[in-house]
Amino acid sequence: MVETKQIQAIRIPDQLTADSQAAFEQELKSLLALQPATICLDCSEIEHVTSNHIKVLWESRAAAQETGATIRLTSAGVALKRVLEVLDLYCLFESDISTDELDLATGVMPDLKQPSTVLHVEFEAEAGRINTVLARFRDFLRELNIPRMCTVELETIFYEVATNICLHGRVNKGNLVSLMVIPKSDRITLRFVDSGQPFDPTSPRPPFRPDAAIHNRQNRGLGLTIITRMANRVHYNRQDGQFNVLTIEKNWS
Amino acid sequence: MTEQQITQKTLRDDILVVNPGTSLDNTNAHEMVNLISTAQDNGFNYIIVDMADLQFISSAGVGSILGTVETSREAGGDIVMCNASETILHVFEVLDLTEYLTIKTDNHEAAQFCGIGK
Repeated sequence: MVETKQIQAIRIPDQLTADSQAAFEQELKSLLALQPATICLDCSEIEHVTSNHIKVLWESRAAAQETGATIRLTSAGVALKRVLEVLDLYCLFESDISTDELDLATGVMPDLKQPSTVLHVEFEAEAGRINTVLARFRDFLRELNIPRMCTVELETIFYEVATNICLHGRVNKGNLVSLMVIPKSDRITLRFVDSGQPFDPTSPRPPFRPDAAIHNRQNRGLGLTIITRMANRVHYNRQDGQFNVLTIEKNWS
Repeated sequence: MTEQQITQKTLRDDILVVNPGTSLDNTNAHEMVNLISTAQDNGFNYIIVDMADLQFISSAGVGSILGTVETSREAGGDIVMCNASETILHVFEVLDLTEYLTIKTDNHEAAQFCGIGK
């Protein structure tokens, strides 16, 4: 049984004039004051996507994040999806739930276990934050109903990567680490982005030797070994010379 | 966090039972190493790590055990783990550590291994 969550819905007008945009922002502010778990942005009226629409979506997401609410796009048309995808923004929103699926009268969300549901968390690169984010990640995985052992492996992978970033990444204070969790029908993808020093966990290194680890009290590489052995695919790239982007895939079948 | 508090009790003058709580990770791995190292210095050749409550172990947690095993073995004892859940055992299996570490099913087996009841 999926936990019932409080949701609120707001429609984005097709014509975003200064007045309609101000009205929208005011309404969004009022809804966020109710501290809902989810804000559904009804995009059904958007026919001609403008930069104002993107700006409104982006700012709505930022405002919602400040209150801990999730932004979900509903009835987003092909054009809007395409624009968001080109801008690499589509994955930042939970989406693909039509307004028909929402019982707005009762405020009941029928089912959050959609394969398209995405978790996006940004956190400070401090060791003290890891367990808080882990708890949120754990809740998210629980809703997906994936096999127990797979959940444990994903939690462990998350913990090891987050630890590497927070303890060894040398991320400047104030810069956030981004974690995006993207479930598909047969796998789940974790995407970590941080602005720390370059570090490629996939670069060749001597294999972990358990016998040597015991006899030589040499435990280096345990975390990376856990990551690479528990994941099905690990990919790293340095983006724009500024960001480490680590993508990890885990099959759950 | 109270659930991560490591507890200990003496089973015999050379056997100490340590319970790491629900999680053995960055937050308490160093405490685990300190506790075991101090116990080894004080003549506890056998350390039984009772994992009955343990739900999560990270590489730091595994490292806290790995890094102390040799000292106990050199003194004629061992670090003996027991009551590990399937998910905790899985982490050791992933690291191919199960044949190098002493892992017993429960407290009774662990105590027997340490020479109690033989």
